[in-house]
Amino acid sequence: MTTSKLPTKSGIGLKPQHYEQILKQQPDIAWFEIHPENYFGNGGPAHHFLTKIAQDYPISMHGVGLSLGSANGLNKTHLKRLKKLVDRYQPAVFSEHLAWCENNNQYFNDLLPLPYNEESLEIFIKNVLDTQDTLKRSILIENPSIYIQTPNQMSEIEFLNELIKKTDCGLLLDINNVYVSAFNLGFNPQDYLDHFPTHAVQEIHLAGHSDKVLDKQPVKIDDHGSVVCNDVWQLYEHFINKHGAISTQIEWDSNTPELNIWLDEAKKSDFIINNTLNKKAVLC
Amino acid sequence: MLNNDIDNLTEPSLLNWQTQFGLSIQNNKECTVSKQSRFSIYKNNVFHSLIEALSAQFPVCRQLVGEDFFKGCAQVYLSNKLPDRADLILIGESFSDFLKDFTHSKKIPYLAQVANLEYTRAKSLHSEDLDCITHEDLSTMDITVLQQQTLIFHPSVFLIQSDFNIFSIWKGHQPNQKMQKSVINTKQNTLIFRDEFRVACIEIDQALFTCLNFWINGQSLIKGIQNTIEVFPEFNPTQVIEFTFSNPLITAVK
Repeated sequence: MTTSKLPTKSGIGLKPQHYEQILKQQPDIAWFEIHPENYFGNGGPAHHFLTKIAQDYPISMHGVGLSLGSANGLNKTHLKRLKKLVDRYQPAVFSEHLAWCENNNQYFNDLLPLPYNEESLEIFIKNVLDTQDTLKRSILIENPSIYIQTPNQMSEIEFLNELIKKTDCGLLLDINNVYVSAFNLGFNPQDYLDHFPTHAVQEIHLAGHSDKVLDKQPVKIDDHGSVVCNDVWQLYEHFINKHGAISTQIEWDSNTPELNIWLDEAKKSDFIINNTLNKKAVLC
Repeated sequence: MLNNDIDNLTEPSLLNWQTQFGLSIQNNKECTVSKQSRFSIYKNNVFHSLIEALSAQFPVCRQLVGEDFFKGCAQVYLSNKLPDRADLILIGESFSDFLKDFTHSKKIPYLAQVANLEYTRAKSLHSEDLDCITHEDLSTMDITVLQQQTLIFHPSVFLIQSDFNIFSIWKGHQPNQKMQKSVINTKQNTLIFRDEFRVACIEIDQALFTCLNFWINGQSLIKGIQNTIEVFPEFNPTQVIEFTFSNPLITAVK
């Protein structure tokens, strides 16, 4: 299996409200990421613009609906649609989540948590292998944002390590998700990152989150609706300095801003990436 | 790290755990797999995102009933039936049928038909890209052969006949538009098709509707015209052929 790589620079998400501006202005951004489910239609403007933009920029596909953690297996129709799209656009990377979102043919449109145990690991491994076999490429799996403790027999890191070993998949490290889960579940995000299987990381996600209070307890919600917070930038900078530059996407899925604001946010991660690459060049 | 088995000591199978988790989200009942109050975040995420998707799919329905009523309707609709596919571009296939029978929306009898029009527009928008026969192409065809042939319509073409003037209602709720006519209990015909990257929505008369309907259902060009003239003696076939091939409606003849 082969996986083409994204440029080791920053990318942003591709949204319909920015299609025409991107084609007209050709902004200085290394790549775009899409949710493939938004392109499951047979035709129309979404495909027209994606086809044009994919001629100028590498595309990463970040699935949100495959439900790799579903105990009743993969949705064959969904996988077939995904295969058609991957074959058509040949994205540099395809990623999905360590989560589930479908059960008994009902789709929840949220990334729901998995209990980490032998049974869920076996199921997840089978679903990843089936996906990779169908798409004829290795995929990346993203660590989730979590709000509740699930009945676990192993840690998320142990789960991911086993998954990599058995499927040869890569990882998408979402540092905002680490920060959100760490706050909500009470662990140290730096400790998590120190134990993360970094050798498998091929892409990083950064995003904003919101702060709420529930039953008088503060909680962080992963809503991708604002700029990346300072704490997450610090974790990111530390990670990149320690492990080297990695393709990074700034996610923004709600309250999507004007294109220039989003591009400015991506310049911040590019600055950190470039600093690391420059230091490496000096050392060489 | 994430090792606290605080909720479930019995460790049900994953399928059972996910089924219980899903039922607790869908129904407004206490969660059986987690007593943690933060479980409600998942429930809120699911319903908030799906209601937003329905709201985007049915903007005129939302305007007609108001934000709060629409959200209430959508909540009941989704609690009865969550989507069966992950892509939300065609969410709400059965929303029109739901509104038809929903007690609280029966006071607005045309609402379900407006929902049908909005959903049909979404289907048209995302239909397959196929080239259409143009007026110039038509001029190169042998008319004696053509009139015996059937017309293959573009997959974005839909005809809607409604009991209320739903086209006027829909048009009156577009940006910078005002309702030209009040809601009336009278039939109205709407032709929907994709023109470049926008969906066109046009009110058509009963004769044109009848002829297009005959053609869509497989009658030859000449048969469809003859059968329409039988019902509408004043029907002008030249104008209809001109209209049909001036718009991106026909992909092939055979």
